[in-house]
Amino acid sequence: MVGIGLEKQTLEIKRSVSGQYFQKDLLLEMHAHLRLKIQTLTAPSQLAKIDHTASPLPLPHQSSIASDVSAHDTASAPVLPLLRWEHPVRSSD
Amino acid sequence: MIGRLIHLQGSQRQSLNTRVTRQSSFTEVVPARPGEILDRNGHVLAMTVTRESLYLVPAEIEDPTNVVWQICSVLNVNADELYERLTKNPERQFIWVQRRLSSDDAALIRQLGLPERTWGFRREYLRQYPQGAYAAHLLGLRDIDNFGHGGLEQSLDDLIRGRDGTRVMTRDARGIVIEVEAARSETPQHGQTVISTLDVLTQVQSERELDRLVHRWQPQGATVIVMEPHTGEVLAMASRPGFDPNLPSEVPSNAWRNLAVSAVFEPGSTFKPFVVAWAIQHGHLKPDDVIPCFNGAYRMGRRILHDHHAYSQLSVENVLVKSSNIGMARIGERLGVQGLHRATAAFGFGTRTGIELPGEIDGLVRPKADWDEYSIGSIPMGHELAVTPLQLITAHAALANGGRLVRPHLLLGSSSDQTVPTPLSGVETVAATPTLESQIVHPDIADWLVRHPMKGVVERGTGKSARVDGLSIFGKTGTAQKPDPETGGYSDSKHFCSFVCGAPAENPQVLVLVMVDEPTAAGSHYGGTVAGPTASKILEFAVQRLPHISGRMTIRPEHDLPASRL
Repeated sequence: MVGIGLEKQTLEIKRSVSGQYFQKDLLLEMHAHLRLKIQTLTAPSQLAKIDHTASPLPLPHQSSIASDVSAHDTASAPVLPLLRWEHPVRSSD
Repeated sequence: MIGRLIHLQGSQRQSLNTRVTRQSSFTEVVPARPGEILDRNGHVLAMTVTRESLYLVPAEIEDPTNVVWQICSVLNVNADELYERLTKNPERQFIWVQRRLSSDDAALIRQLGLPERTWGFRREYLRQYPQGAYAAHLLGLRDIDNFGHGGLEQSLDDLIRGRDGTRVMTRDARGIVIEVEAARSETPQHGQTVISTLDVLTQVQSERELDRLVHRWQPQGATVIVMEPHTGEVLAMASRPGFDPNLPSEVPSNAWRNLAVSAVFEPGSTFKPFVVAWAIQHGHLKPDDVIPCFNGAYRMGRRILHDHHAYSQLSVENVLVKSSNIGMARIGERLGVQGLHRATAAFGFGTRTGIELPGEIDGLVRPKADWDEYSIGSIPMGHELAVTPLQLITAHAALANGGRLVRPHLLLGSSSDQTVPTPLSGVETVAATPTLESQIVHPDIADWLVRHPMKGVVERGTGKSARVDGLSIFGKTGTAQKPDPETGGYSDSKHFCSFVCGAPAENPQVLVLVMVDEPTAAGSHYGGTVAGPTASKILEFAVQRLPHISGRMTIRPEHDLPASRL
């Protein structure tokens, strides 16, 4: 019984560690998305437009850049599976 | 019962063990994150984010029609094709529907409420280029499988791509992961970060000016290179037609080619300073010599050379300022075939520069055995050989930096004072290859050429259109007729127009080359008129940027990357 208890505790700790790694991955990705957004908005091409037109800050027009983390994503973040891995039997939603 | 147990534990032990391991343990690839490409000031030129890719599980889908209908109401997917794939492979556990969805599309898919077990998302990396179409030819792009194509993405692919890792996991009978076997897993080696020599602002300005030139002259192609002559660092490089690496499916077929390294053209008069430098270096000419020019017509073997204007004689300086073909031919006669061929090789023509870009070509310099008397008249005025724009500006950099031929490069030296990526200390950067250089002409000769004849070209010669008030510019125009395949000779209407210039003439810090392939709009197609104004505008901007280019590299805090690595 003690052995089983220890085994369960070990498994729980491993799950916790894995979960934290996964959270770190998520934070890294969020960082990357925000970094991309910053770089896109502050790209010299954008700043040069502002400089030339001397108009209020224009909305970024870089349609070719894929949209980043939306408010929707952060507000209603889905339950994410363990270790970024998604098995059919445990689909993300 | 006992017999059965012995049977299972004994004779079938190995096969059952294997079966259990196969059912409970599986390995997934953990992709390496490709490294970033930064400009010299830390602006991101290329980076990687994740996107969700949608897959379906046909074996679990009971109503394919409904699933297809729902998905196609959200995504731009061919419904017939998807339905066919589902119904033709009903036993499969996995098919892709669409990869790298936008965040909004992924959210819409979630809202559909598709049956569990029938679908899922996998996260995949997506390469993004925040500067849009700028520097596209230098960067190249990364395909859906993370392989680089063109530019730095291709030439440094092994370093930028990194090495995928693996994760070995154990799952229970329901398929839920219960353990990650760390001992058998392998951590991915993420790609290295590349700090390039580019200055994004100079790049943007160069491309804008190039676009204006293309709009005005409607050429077949055009290219611009901005270089720091002392180190060979490329500050900007652009080619037209161009493309947006964020939209790889929309790249025109003729836009892939980076003309700066893969186009060859006869340099025309931009080649003349090298011949003069070599002739002075080897004692065949003195700067104060006077060259007879025969009033604009000079018979040389079986042909007669002409100048645009008739001169009875010209100083060496004025031979370059007035771009006299006859004067150059006379200098060529002093050098002979041997001297001309050596000069051509010494300035790096006929061999690749070795810049970190794929697709660079050698140019066309025929073997010396094929050179004849005709060559003595043609080579000094930049005919009978073809060079790449990068070779040409590299050779001019040798004159601008005191006679040293340096290797042009795109990677910022990690040992340089300019590279102090403190916030990026956790990120491994690609080391720059060492810069090779050789002294090909004496510094005094190079300085004289830059400060007198080439400065005179802009002040009172063929490059007057490039003058900028308050800036001491030197330069050389080049106009070469294109070969006409129909006649086998040179075309009278198709030209390569080029202009190379630098500043300040007393201590050159920046060089700019603009090359235009076959302008078609109405007007005089001379290098000075077509390429000159564009080159001088770019040069003026680049000179203003000098404090930011040559100063210590600073990276703003928001450009930081997390130091921790998986």
